[in-house]
Amino acid sequence: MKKQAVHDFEKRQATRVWPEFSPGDTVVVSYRIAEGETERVQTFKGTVIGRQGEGMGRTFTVRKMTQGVGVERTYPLQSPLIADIKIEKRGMVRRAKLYYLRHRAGRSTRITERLSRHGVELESGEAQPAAASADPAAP
Amino acid sequence: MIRLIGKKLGMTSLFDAQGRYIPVTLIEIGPCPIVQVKTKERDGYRAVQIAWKGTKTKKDMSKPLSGHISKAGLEAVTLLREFRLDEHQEDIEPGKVFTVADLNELRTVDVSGTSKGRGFTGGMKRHHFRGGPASHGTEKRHRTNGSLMSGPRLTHIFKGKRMSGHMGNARATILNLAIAQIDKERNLLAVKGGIPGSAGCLVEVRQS
Repeated sequence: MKKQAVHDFEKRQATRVWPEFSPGDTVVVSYRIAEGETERVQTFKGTVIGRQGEGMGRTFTVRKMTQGVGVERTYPLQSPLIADIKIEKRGMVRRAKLYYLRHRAGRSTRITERLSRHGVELESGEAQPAAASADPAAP
Repeated sequence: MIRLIGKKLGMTSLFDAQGRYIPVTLIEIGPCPIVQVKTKERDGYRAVQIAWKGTKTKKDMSKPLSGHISKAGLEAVTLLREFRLDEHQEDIEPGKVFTVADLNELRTVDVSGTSKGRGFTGGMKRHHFRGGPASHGTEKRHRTNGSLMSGPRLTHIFKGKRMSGHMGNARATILNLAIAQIDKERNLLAVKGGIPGSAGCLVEVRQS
């Protein structure tokens, strides 16, 4: 079990606050990439297929298809290199890890869009109230 | 030479400005009041004795210890530690209290503590022996030491021959741990990497 003091420390360190999102959602992640002296922002749009870990080590995996090839990127949620996370679409899924998408292609990878949760209408890209949070461990 | 007493709280991680993920150990440091300053004239050597207050109360103190620490105005201590002063080092005032702020200008520290006890362990865990083959007809010799000696020397086993035995629960020191963060308000120190012992253990933190 993690000590309370360590837990509190992580809470103070976790300064990145993003809109609440969960597996099945379509997100656009802007990630800062250093190229020599300069820096550019790379965007990656895809479906969130899972979230792993807790505290500072929390990560999420985004999957997309590029020219028929599946590409997955795993980002640390608390990384200072993430410039922005935008939610494009909320997905209706019934499991926490959408690894089944790896065996599928084309139309069968579609995820039904979720327009509300617990009777509360969802608006893409906005932080949800804590009561509607699907993930209490998320910062 | 600065030396402090701290409590290992556990491990977590941080991101640095370049976005690198750094594993850190959190240590609660002091404040460590000075109990006694030993002088060359009186004690034959120069040293400073510091205390970790901890959870012990006055009831836990023996009378001699109680008398010793009362000179510094303390009621109860959990751990006392002493560190020597170099010849050229200035005297330290008896009333000073060491805190994590004293580590402020340092880049690295050494941390000593008692390692986790492993009990009676075999040669594979204790000395990284390779053990025996897993198959090819091997029976009951999968994790053994193997031969202790062979050839014309075969009279007795040399002292210090690496065998199975007790491992851990011994003083261990990790040198040159980079300081990742200092929180003066909460008396917290974060060093990069692991330190000996389990969470809750008392450790010594020294200038390296």
